[in-house]
Amino acid sequence: MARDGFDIGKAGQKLLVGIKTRHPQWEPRPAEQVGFHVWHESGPRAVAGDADKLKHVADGQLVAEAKAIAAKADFLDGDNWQALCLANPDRALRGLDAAAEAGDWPVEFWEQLLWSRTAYSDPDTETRIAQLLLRWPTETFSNVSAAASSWLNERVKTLPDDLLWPLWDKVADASLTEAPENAEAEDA
Amino acid sequence: MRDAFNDAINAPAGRLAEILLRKVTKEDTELSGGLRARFDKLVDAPGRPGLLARVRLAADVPFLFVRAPNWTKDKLLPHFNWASPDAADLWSARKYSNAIGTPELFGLIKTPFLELFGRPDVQPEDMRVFGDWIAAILIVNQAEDAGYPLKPTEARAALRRAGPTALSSVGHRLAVDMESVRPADKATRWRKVIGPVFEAIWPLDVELQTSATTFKLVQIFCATGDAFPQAARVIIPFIRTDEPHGHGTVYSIAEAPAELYKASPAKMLDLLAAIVGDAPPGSIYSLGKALSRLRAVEPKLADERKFQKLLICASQHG
Repeated sequence: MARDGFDIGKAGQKLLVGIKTRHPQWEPRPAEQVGFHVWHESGPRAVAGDADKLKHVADGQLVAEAKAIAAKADFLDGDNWQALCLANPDRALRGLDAAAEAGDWPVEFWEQLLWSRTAYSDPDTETRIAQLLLRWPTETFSNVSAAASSWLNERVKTLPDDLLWPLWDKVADASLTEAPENAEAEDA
Repeated sequence: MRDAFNDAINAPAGRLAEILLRKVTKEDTELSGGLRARFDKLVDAPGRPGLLARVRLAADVPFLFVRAPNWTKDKLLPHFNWASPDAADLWSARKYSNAIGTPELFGLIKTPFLELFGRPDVQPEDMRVFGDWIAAILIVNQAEDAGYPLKPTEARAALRRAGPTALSSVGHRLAVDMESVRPADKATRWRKVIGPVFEAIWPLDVELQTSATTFKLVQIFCATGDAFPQAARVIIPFIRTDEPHGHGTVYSIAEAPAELYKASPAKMLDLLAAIVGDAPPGSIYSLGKALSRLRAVEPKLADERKFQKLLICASQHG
């Protein structure tokens, strides 16, 4: 009643202050639960990753550290790399760039970056992603070509033609084969 | 329901096609250079990736035909022929097109277009969309002499093959057209455009006249305004008794504009009698309201046997 602005009288106010003094951790139940002695809830809860777990990691170590965290992750732990791609795709790219220099092309990490629709802060990020995709080893590029095609489709108006067309050709070479389409896997 | 077009827009081949479509400029009269080579690569690709690329391009065939008519004619249109294994998927994708396209484009794929009506491998939803196209084409031909090479006899034959789903869609298009006309122009629109189109293409087959088509015919009625008496003369023969427990059609009439009741109360009574048929006593919701409105306009009608019979069928609850 006090929460809703009703006058609970002097005695009531005194009692309320006394309770709060004796039990500083106590707080009223959420408004929708008022009047119920027992409250059950069920439903899905999103398992959110935590980009802060990668906060103090050097860009050059980002991919290795994210892999190590993922390897030790519990079933209910979120995807920290995905969280990073959503929060700071420019930094995620710097990590992938460093990994690529070492010959490491982690498909799932790249997919998370390519699917992220968070705007880039660094004006060079878009160009650098295209350059790295063009350097991706041909024999494994089909693993990331679905995500790359989606990313490219979003960049038609901004990516320079000297990057867009070579990348279009590379995606086409990897995708226009008799191999089964990846559409089902993309939707999953 | 998933179809090839949905698969295409979620697959690399479909996305590559979208990129090419977005790179075709207004200045392009035919594809050239690298752009043409890439369109060729997509449309000639083997297997399912090639099919998905062609399916994605099929939805934009009106756009491509304007920008690159020769390329489209040579490389894409042949796949619409039913001899092609791609035809069913390309026609299914075609329903997502924003436009029917130019009369010339329509003429080039008219034969497989008309053949799709009645094909067992064409989905009812596709049939509904293409039935609407038939009506739209004949309306624009009649109203503006647009020059689409489609004769009313060809349209009627296609609709007869297609069945009630496509016919309801035709009725909807005619109704929406009448609804969009200003009240002062309704009589002219009916006399010069919608009436002639209706009479030219609506099939006479009894089995094609259903409750669903009747509902659409009444929707046309409700939009005819001053042309109601003329429309009634043409349309009432195609009205069928409403389905038991349905009677949404009677409700539509009960809520129809007052001008319709005033334009021809006797025709309105004929219309109600045709829809109600031999319904059980007290079973038709909203019929009482429609009859009250009729009686208010033309009190003498209440003495007729037809009116009395309908009164018995009217529900006591509304």
